[in-house]
Amino acid sequence: MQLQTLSSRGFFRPAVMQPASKDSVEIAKAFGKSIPALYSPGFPHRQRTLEPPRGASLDERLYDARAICKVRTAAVAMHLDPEWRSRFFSQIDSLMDAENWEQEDAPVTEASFTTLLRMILLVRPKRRPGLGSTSTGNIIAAWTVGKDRLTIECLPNDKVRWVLSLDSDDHREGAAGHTSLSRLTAVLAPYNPERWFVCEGG
Amino acid sequence: MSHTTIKTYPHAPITEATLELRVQSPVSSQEQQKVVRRLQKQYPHVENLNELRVNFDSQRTGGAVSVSTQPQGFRRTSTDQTEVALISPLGVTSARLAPYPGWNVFSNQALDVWKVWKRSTKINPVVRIGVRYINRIDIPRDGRQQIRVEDYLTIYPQAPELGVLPMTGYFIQIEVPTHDPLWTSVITSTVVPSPLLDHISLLLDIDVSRTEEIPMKDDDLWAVIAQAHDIKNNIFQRCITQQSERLFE
Repeated sequence: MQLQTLSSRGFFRPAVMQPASKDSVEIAKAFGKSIPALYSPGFPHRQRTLEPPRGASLDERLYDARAICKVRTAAVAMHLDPEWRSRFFSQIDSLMDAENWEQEDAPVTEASFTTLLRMILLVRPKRRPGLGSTSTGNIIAAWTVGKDRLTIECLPNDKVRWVLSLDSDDHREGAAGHTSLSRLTAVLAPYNPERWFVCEGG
Repeated sequence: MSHTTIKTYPHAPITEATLELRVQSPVSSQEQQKVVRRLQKQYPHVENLNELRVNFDSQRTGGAVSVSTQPQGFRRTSTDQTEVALISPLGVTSARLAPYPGWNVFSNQALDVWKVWKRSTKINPVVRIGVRYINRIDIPRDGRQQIRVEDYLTIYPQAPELGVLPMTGYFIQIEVPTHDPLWTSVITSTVVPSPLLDHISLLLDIDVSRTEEIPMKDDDLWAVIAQAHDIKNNIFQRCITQQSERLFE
């Protein structure tokens, strides 16, 4: 059975028609039994959201944001080097540390963090990026090698904004753009992005 | 169902492993809280679990809607969020998110939680053991317009050609007694949105459970739980293909 690879949309649409016959009642019962078994696994650790309760303190909001980032990372942990993941978690903890956080800034959003994870799994950088965030909750990944710097702001829905600066023999060169993750490697290719992603000496 | 050789993989596709022990009678809120307190060291973070209930009274003019929450237990997590303990009136569940550390580590984690539960609650026999592993097989598209599910799973949908375009999704669930009649398995497969760009992800969810002849002594109980793990491994191995295995190596 072949499966189309171009679609990422939800594949299962529950029946909306009202059951009319005995058979259709049985079918509806069977679906009622099996669908929740898959989609409501009964393990509430899957049911976290980034919506903090109203009036949540800064500590609570940051904790929730760190937690969701780690749960999202766990979902792809089999594709990450354990040491890399562990240090990445330290960076997340450090980034969203309440002591260094401005009260009015939004914690990193789930949508932005998801784009960061997908970008990392696309680029697979050996060198971990420095992490920062915008006041609106977008996470920023930055790589600096000598005077060459690449900064990528992760927006929701696989969109990124990037800025780079390069130090050539006698002048500095800069470039910036806005693209989707699927185009990122092609867009950065002229600037030899391996200079940022590959560690020298392994 | 015959046994197959069990392998370990450097990039096992397990996204979540869960072990649930359900007891006969609900335990009190005080007992649950005692368990929660005693798990604090290993699982520093705690949340209350509540069930949201929405009631609609059609007898009243305009229909009256009321919303209430019902306590359902507690959820404790480790600092990195990968180890989870759920404490509910009817039992305790240990879960481990990826990266999966192996059965020995996971079952010891669950055993420690169970010992805390037993120490904190009245004697209450286990009436159900459930071991569930959710696997996600991430398949790179590699420029392909289509993939064949049967290249990766031996459980797959069969349907007549109904149009020129390929299938965009499926959902299969089978419930089948295992070779050991005391255990039942529920195997589910479907397509899920892939967390990786340019990949297709297939879910393989294996749930093995038992409700009869459950030992009271811990040593015997854990020996029985290990059987569930072996059965799960056997099912997993029989549900995947060599092409899948190559993705986990």
